[in-house]
Amino acid sequence: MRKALILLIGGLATLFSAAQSIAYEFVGMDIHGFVSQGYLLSDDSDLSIDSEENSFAYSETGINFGKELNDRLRIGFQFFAKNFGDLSENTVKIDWAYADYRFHEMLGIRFGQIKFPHGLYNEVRDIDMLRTTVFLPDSVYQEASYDLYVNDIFLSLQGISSRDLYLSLQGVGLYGYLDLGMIGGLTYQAMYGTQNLKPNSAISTRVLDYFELVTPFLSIFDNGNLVENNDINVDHRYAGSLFWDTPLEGLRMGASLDNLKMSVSSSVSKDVAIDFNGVEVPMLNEGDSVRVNYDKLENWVFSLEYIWNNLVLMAEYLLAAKEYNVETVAFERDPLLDHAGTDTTSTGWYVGGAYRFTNWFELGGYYSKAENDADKSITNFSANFFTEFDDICAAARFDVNKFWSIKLEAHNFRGSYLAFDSFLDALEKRNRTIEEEWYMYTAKMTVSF
Amino acid sequence: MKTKAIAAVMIAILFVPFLSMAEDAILIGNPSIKKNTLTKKDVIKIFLGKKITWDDKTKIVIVFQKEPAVHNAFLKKYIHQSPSMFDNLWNRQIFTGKVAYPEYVQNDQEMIKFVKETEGAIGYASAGTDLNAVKTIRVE
Repeated sequence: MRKALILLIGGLATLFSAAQSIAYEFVGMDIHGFVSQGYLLSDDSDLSIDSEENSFAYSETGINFGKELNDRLRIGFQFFAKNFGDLSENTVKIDWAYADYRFHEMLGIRFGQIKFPHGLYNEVRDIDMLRTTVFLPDSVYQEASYDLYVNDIFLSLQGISSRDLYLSLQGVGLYGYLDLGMIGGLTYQAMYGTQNLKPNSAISTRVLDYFELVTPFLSIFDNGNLVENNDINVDHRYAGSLFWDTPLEGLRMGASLDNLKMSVSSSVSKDVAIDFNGVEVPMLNEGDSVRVNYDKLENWVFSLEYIWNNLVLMAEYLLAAKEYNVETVAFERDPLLDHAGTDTTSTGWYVGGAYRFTNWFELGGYYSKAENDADKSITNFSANFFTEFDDICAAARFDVNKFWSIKLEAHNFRGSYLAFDSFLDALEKRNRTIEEEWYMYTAKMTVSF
Repeated sequence: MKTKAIAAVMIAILFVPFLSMAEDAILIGNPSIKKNTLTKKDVIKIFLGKKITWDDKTKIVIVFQKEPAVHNAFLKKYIHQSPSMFDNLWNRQIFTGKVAYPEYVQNDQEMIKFVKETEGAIGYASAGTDLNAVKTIRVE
């Protein structure tokens, strides 16, 4: 299916570029698409995006169709496929599909599957040609390489990646623009609905590999998943944003909020025991039910963007709050294992910019930092295993022509993964170490129309 | 010496944006448009797709030109953005389904014809073009 999509996009791009047309139509519908292929190289084979040190398993393909039915009513949809090591299943999915009716400049309604706002760039996070860098700062746009570090352990065990949570919601939304004259203007969105989440077993396998690497206490793991039959029940998903185009030309600032409440029910697929100083202590039995109630997964993002001629500067700050509790029969068997609940916060921020020197060459980069508030959960099993994480990114973009771009990018990652010194000691005894600083390089080409 | 000269030229090329010789661009509108002047901020709001109706609720139809010199002159004079950033801002809307692709014409002649024949249309043409068929819009 994905190959067919690529062939379709390639054929259309060839046909339309030959016609030197910018707006492409077919049976009255506007058509746009893109194909991206990347290459990743890391010097950390254990904890980089893929288990390999280098990989071509990084690509994105998308095509969208839109039609204005009349002056106020519009309909559109986008198909999208992403390959990102084992974190994306590389299947064609509907990225967004909705109808849009604009009553007035100040009010419109959308319904269907809608990309929701999270900061400046979440809605276009998979559209490579719309930015200088290959990767968005992970401190705010949690994607992949730090998935194990910023995502919740239980979410990962149940096969839900950070990225999954930020794609789109199914529901209804209101939006509009308020012209404030000389004061500028306000752009707003507010939407409510549910979210279609599907577990990815590769994610839970990765986190188990990570457990085995960094937490020698949990040593009884075979290949495969710890939990199975994951049933995700989303209670609600809502999101909104408010952005102000300030009187200072080129400067806009704003905030976005997204909130998710859901529960995930699973069953344990194998007996689990802790290797505690040579004594095997049972924890979970095969068949035990586990239900994780995520009462709140909430993010606030505060954003600032300045665009002037060839220069763009941006800065964003994320405040994430998480409340959940775990229900399992194992706690009834052994109250010592009882996990009452978790209430944590984490923050992330970045500053970045880009400058276009010529119509074919652009340089950009950012400094990104993520921090986890581990203090509250210091005695809880579900503590996220990182405290802070830095990323310095430098990127160069070359535009061969209006349709084709090439990017080269380098990252320096630094972070401490473990909240507890005892884990580091245990690792040392097992002759294992974790690099606290490593590099990743990427090259990526995109053709779009 | 020769190497330094070549290097200096290459660096100069690298740091000089908008290499194409820019013409001057004039805003033009359909005669049905009641406004004769727009503020700088209104022009930006209109051509970034934020302001979508005129004061009388007539739909604003924006049209761009493919002629690079005129288009770049328009962006430099009124929008203060590079062509790539301007395209990015539009593509953010297009690739999320929020707006339709704006109208594009090939040159000044097609621009004048489109603006003259389309109610609510606003565009731009190079200075020195015969603009009698359309309304010239001043920016204050």
